[in-house]
Amino acid sequence: MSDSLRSRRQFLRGAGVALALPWLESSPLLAQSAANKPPLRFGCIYFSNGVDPAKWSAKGEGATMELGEAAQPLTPIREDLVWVHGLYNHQALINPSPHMGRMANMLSGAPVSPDPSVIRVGMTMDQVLARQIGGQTAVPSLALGIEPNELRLEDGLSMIYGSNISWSSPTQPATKEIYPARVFDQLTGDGKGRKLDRSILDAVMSDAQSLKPRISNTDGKKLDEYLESVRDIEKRIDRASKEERLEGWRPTLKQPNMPRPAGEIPQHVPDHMKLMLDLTVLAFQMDKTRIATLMLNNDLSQMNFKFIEGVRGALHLDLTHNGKAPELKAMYLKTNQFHMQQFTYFVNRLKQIDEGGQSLLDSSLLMLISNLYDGDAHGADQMPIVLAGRAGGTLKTGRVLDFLDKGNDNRRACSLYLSMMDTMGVKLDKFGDTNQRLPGLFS
Amino acid sequence: MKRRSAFCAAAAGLLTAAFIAGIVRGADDGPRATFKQYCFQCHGGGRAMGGMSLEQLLANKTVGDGFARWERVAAALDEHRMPPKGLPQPPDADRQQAVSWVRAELRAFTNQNAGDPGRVTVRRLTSGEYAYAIHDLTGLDLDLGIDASTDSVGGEGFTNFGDVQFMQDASLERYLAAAKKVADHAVIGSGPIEFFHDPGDTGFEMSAIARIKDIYDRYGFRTVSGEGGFPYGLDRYGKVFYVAWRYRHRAALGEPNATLDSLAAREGITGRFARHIWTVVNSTSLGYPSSEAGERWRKLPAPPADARAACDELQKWVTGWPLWLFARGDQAVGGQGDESPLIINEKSLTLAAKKHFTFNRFAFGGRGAARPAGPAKVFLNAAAVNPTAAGKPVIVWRNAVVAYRFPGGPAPDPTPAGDQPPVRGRGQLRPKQPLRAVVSEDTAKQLGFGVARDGATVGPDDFASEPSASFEVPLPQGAIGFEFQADAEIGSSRDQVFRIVITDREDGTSRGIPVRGLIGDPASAGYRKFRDGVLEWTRLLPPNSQFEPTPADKDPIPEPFDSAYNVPEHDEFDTRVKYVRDDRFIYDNILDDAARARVDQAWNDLYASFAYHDNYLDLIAKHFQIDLKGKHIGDLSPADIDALQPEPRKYAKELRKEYDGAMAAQAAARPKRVDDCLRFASLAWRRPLTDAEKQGLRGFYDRTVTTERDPRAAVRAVLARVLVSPAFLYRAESPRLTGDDLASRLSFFLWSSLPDDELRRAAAAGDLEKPEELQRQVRRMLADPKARRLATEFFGQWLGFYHFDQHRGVDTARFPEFTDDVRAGMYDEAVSFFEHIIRKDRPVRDILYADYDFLSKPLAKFYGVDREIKSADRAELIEGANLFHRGGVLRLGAVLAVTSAPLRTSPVKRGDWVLRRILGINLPPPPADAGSIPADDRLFGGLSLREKLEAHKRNATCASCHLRIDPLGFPLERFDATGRWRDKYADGKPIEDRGALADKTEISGVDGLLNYLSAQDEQVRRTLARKLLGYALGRTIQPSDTPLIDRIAAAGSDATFSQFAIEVALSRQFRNRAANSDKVGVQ
Repeated sequence: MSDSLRSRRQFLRGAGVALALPWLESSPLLAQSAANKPPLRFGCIYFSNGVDPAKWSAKGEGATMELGEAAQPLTPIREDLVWVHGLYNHQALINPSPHMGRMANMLSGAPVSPDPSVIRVGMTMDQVLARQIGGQTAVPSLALGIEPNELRLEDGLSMIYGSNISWSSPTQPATKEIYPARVFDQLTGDGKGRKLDRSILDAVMSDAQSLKPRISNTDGKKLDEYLESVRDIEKRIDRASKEERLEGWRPTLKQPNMPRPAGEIPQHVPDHMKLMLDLTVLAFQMDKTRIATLMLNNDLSQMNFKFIEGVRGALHLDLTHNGKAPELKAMYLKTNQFHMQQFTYFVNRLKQIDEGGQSLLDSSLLMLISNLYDGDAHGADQMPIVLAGRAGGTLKTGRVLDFLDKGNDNRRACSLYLSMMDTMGVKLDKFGDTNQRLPGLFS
Repeated sequence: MKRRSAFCAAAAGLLTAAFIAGIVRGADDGPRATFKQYCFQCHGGGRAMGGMSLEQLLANKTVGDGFARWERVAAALDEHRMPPKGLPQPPDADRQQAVSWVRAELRAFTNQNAGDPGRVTVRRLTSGEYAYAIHDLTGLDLDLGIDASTDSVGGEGFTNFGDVQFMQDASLERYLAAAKKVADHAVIGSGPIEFFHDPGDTGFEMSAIARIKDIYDRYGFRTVSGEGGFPYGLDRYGKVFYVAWRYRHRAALGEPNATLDSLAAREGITGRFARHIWTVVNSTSLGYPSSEAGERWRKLPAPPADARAACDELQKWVTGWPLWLFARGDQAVGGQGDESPLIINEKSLTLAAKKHFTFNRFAFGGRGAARPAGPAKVFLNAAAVNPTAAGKPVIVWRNAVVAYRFPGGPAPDPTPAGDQPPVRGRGQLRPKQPLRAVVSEDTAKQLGFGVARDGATVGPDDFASEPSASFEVPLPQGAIGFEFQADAEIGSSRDQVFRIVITDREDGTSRGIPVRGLIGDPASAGYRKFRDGVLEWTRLLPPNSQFEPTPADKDPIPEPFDSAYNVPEHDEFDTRVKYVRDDRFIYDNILDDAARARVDQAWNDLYASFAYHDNYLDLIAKHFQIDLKGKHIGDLSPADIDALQPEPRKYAKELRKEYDGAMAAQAAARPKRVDDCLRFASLAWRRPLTDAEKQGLRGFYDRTVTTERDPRAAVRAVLARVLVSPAFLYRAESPRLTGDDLASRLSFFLWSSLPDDELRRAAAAGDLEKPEELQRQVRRMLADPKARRLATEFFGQWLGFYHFDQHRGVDTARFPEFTDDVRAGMYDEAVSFFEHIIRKDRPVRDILYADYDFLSKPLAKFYGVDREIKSADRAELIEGANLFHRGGVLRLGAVLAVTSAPLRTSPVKRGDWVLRRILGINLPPPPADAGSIPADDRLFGGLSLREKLEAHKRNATCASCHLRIDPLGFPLERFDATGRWRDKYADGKPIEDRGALADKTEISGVDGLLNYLSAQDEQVRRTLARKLLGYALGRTIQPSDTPLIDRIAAAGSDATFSQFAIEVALSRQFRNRAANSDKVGVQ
């Protein structure tokens, strides 16, 4: 990406103001298409409950990189990844709630509100991207998950903090979708034949407007969420019906190459995860969105891992907090490896898709991450992070980077996010708890 | 909104005054000096150690702004935790003064702000509320995709907390899809808009036929079972005779002013039916058998005797008579059911003076193993059915012959025609012999061969009967049966009509289908009288109140089509026309005006739901071989119709008339549909619409009719638009609550849904402003079945069994007995238990101490409870549950299971549950690096669970909490991870169900725990009050709520649930909105 292109982008004054920013209209789109290159895609795969720290390691380079036992399943893709060691979120570390205070802020570095009556974290980096460049695609971003929100409080705080890694504003999580069929419909709905929907939405928009003067100011603010949603859908319908793709580059897939998934949530967890990964691949391949997050599990996950042979019990309560019983530790290790297998599958699928002489993985920037390091100890002093994809040639892979001993100010996860956002074409002068970029990562 | 409550306004005024109070007072108090001197070093001047700046706190306008912080300050000072050791300490007097001052300020603030409505974020409907609201609007339970994945929990632990309810394009898309789906279930026809469980065009047709059948079922009756049908509604005849009887004797019965209508209403029948029957039974000009019915009715016993039983007998005679006449074995008269339709018309009543009968007698020992043959009796059972005929009732049996049947020969034809019974078994008929030659001499004499009884000519092999006869047929050795044949003919008295049944039983009943028939001379006046009498009967006292609207394939179809079974014309009619309307009797003589209107609407909808009349006309054209040149029925001009031959013209004219009527009904309904939509919107939006809103909806309809070119699609669009509107999805309230706002608050609080008609009425009348009326409403609502939702939503979320029917936390590999049925049973157990407490207004102490439980069959089996459960699928109330370790929330399977790990119990989770959810005490989260204990109690490496926890507790940071948690969890150890009672652990070790609190109080077993909690029953009630208030308000509890909570909790241990709900509903915070959010329409 040339400097002149970058200069055309707005230089944003920190994520805090991002909410108030308008969508960037299609100028970056035009700019990027001029290069006739595939656009960059950002994907984040999250797994909860951390890793077994003793088995989480990497050393060496490229084809000779050696991975610890927990990361073994990444071996086939080691030349496509960058091992990032030692990054952390300061606000997570100092929060007294070992779960609620350390998850929802993973991608924002923001403090989690300790007041049960106020839901507040921070807008996450994926949603900053969605707001700035999401308008270029039919679906601004995907926030996917496997487990539903748990309907209870934990430590007196809403479990909403344990169920959402993507926040579209400091007070609102991005709508997490756990139904594969709905994701499919979202990706394949083309906006045509939605004339009636459009007119219904027009009408309810005026309902909302006429409601506003009669209700209180604070209620009116809540209604703004509604109004904005109406506008977002209308924009999408309009965009799709106009079909005004001015780019030189065209996605390599026009129609979905997988069948519509069944309406229910798959009973078998691995099937569910595979479907969600396939749908993410489909979204990228059809260029329906360029930003996606997927939570393989929720924090405090009740996911019963009996689907792995020799494993039994729930991820959080039984396997992560294993009391160091050897048999249970071995099971926990298998869950770590299982999460790695999902990422490997995802990377390999992207790698196999050709986009005019280069793979989809080459145009992707992927991150595998958990909010905790030592899962049993709720360790937030660092996080397991693995990047993959060549990010359009800006990310040199097959490397191991260690920031653990570089000093706390030089190992902020938000520095990584700033760098990644730069690469994606969104420049902020600060984000979360830092204004520094992570050195030596992108070229 | 128009109806602003004076009551609310007054309350709001009080509040404004209250907000001014509680301001931190002057700067020169001793306490301020104390803080400055001893605290500011770390907690002032820009320093805020531990996030606490006293200087900032003191600068706040009121202590309310930092209420929790001030509480912490007072506690730290009071407990000498601050200032830290080693730093200068204030003199005790100063310290005490500061503590007292802070606490007095806090108390003053609390009291002065008591009842502050607080900040309540506008609430979006939760998934539960959405489903209930759709149910209450449409009567349907639809899978709309608005499920729990759209919910989150906040505030006091409930999904109805506005701050955790979000809207984004993706979620709005779901609401839009759901709204369109609901709209697709709308039935848009000639009547008011309603909803049906099948959507779209199919649903339109299905709903029409369902409505038709519903009206027939509710008002009509059917004697004849027909194919796959059952008799129903026959008791209505008994009731209507009884009504007529009471009316006749109204003076004697002490109701001189009673009318047929009023008496009918009491019996649940229509006045129209009563008036019809009154006329019939009092008419003296009727033919037989109607005259007989009237006579029997007039002979009913007079008061003081009660004629109820006699009326029921009369009903049996009336409904049984046609079946008897045709000798049918119908269910209505205790028979086996007869598949062929009972048709009483001129055709079926066409008789001959002479009729040939064939009677087969079998079953002499059955196939193969023939018993020794003996004589067999044959009864020629005849009844004269024209009582007006003069002369002797004589039948002449001509050419009476018998053919014996012997084993061997070809298998007989399995499908004999006519009246013959099916021929079973093998056999071969020998040549016929005259009956005279076969029977004994005595019998021959008795029958009187060749003897005329009334002058009719009789041959030597003929005999006459008057009217019945019987004889014995001796069987030769080896015979397995015989066949009797004869021609029955009317004797000299040609006016006679006979019903004949030939059988081997004296009482006239038969095995299988009887050999039966009617004979009568068509040329005789007697026959005609009989026929007209029967036809008159079918008009006045018919066995069926209407023809089946969906004829089965054996049922007749209308003229001119071929009604025979399995012919192409019948089949085509069944598949293309499908429905026949012949409901003259019920329409003319039973249905009240409203039901008439509804059944007309339903038929018009059915006609409009597919090309009914086109198909019908097409069949007519085919039948008469005419060419309509592909014309649609609506395109036929009067000239087209007139040009037809007389027969087809008749049908075409009728069809066209019916078609025009149906179309006109649809057209006439169109303008009303928009009104229906407006009514629907008003229900869904929970308030009267403004004129602008009405105009908006009308305008939207008009525009959509134009763009979609389909009035029905436009109605659906309006309905969808109503349901996706923020006025439906959000519980927006006026800054000053209106009566409608308050009605909604009540209904969402107690029913999780929209107000019902009564509540809307009360709101419109301003009744909700009156406390006693508000109370009455709360009591009414709590007793309503819809209050079960409060058990599901409030108790479920408070106590943690919400959505337990989808709980996946039990490892079913380890506990295979924990089946889906057991899980469903536990959910039902929990919800039904709280429903009982709510709807029966039980004392709230039942929550913990109830001695009853609700068990389903699978759950009782799972628990090992040996009590009889009658219902196959629902939980039933079982008293005396403590005997088998059940009763109360602590022993609910769902609660015990959700507080366990998949493979083991968790005393910590259970203790934490008791502490937080029952006692309402919030502990700080465990330190992040707290050790953990293994998940599986088989893996404790020799240590017991208790020993393991003891080790954990020794760690000082853990101990302070675990000393409070564990003793409350261990007493429940006798319940395993699935909630079952157990006597030992899986490894055979004895159960450790004792715990000791820090003050050495020992708690042993669930009874001990209950005992411990009973000493804190006010605290338990306080938790309930707090949670209930938080749930009702949709916000977190704030200090200013304390006086209310204290007052509710002080109600004593006999307080019932309604007292709690009423206190909440009457509270100032429930009936008002915060004054500080009272800025209207600032954009």
